Amino acid sequence: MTDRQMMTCTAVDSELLGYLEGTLAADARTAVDEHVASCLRCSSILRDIGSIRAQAAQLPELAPSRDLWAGISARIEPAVVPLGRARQDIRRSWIPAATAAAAALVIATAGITYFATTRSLRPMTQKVAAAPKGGPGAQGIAQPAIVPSTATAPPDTSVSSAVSASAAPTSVAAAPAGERSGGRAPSAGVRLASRRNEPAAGPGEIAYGDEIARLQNIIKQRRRELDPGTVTVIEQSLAIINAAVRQSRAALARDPRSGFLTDQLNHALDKKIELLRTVALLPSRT
Amino acid sequence: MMQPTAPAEDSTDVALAAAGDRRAFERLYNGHVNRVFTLCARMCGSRIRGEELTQDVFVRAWEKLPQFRGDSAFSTWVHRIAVNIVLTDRKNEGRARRRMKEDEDEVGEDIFAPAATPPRDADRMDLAAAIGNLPAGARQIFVLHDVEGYKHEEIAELCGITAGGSKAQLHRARLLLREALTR
Repeated sequence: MTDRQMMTCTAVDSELLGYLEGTLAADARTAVDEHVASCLRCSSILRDIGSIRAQAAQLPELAPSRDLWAGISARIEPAVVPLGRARQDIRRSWIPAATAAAAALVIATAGITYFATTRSLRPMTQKVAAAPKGGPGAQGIAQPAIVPSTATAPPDTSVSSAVSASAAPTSVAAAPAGERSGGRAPSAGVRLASRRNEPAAGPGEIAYGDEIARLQNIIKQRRRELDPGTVTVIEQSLAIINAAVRQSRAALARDPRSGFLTDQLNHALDKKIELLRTVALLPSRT
Repeated sequence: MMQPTAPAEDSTDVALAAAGDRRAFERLYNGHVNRVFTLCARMCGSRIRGEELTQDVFVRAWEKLPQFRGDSAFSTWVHRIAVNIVLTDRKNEGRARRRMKEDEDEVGEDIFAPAATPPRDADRMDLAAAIGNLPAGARQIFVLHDVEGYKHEEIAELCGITAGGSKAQLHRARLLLREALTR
C-alpha cells in the first residue's frame, strides 16, 4: 500500500459512513468507488460490512426458554375489587404521589376517626346501657363479620409478607344503610363493606382479602425483579396504609354501626389494593 | 417457530382484548411473543433479561390496548412498546451502574454465546454472539437498524438522539462486529 493509498484509505474511512448510508455527494461517491476498486483493504471492509448487514437481516427468530404467559397472566388478572383508575398508564411518578396520598389518608383517618368515635361512642353507650342484653334493641344491627383483632398486632410492612400484615379481611363490617354518615352514593363497583345487613360473604362474593392476598402473592414472586429502592418506598406506603386500616378497624370495633367508619375502612382497603395492583403491574427493575 | 399473525387476523383479537378479553390477548401473545422476545433479548444482550422484559412488554401492551387506535399493525405497535421498554430498562440500568460507579457501557452478559445457540449456521452463530458482545448503545442501534429495519429517524426519535448520532453508533457497531468476526 503506497503513501498515496494510505492517505486515500484514511479519507475513505472518514467517508465510509456517508458512503454506506448513501448520503455522499456524487463526486465523493465516485472517488470512493475508484479507490475501493484498487484497494484490497477498503474493498475488504466494504465487503465485510455488506456481509454483516445481509446476515443481520437474516438472523433467525428466537424463542423464550420458558413459558412467559403464566407470569403475564397473573399480572394482568382483573382486579376483583374494581379500581377507579384501572388500566392506567403506569409511570414512576406514582410513587411519591402514592406516598403523599397514603400520608394524607392516615392523617385524615386518624383525625376524623378520633372525632367521630369520641362523638358517637357516648350516646351509643347510653343506648346500649339502656337496652337489655339480647333484647329487641340488639336486633337489626349488623355486626362485623370479622371482629378486628389487629389493634395489638405488631406492624408488618414487608411486601413479601404483607399478606399477614393486611390482616386480610374476607369481609368487612357492614352498617345499616340509613346510618351512613357520608352522603356519597355507593359506588357502582362491588364493595363488600358497602353491602348492608349481610353478615358474611357468600360463595362467589367478592372480598378484599382475596384480592389483597392474590396481589401480594404476585408481588412476593416479583420482589427480586423490582428495584430495592422502589420496594422500600412501597413498604413505607404500605405501612402508612396498614396503619390507617388498623385505626379504622379499631374504631369500627368500638362503633360497629358507623357507616362513616365503614367507609373509612373501605377507603383504606381500596388504597391498599390500588397500591398493590400498581406494584403488580410495575415493569421489572424500575 | 411461530410466525407473527397477519394484521387482519389480529384485528378481532385486538378489539376483544381491548375490551378485556384475556383469551384474545393470549392469542395475540402467542402470535407475537417470539418476535418480541427476539427483539428484547438482542437489544439487551441477555436471554434471561429478555424474557423478563418480554413479560413487561405484554403487561404494558395490555394496559395500553384501550388506547390502541389501529393506525398501525398490532405487531408494529407492540414492537414499539418493546423498544421503549428495553431503552427505559437501559436507562435505569445506567442510573444504577452510575450509583455503583461501574462502567455504563458494559457488554451483554449471557446471550448468544456460541454454546447456547444451535450450531445450524456457524456464521450466523458467530454474528449473534458478536452482537451480544457489543457495547449496549452500539448494540441497540445495530439491532434496531440492521436487524429490525428501523430507519435512523425512527431510531433517533425512539432513543432521544439525533439521526447523525444513530448513524455514528451504527457505523461503530459494524466496525466492531467486523473486527470481532475477522479476528
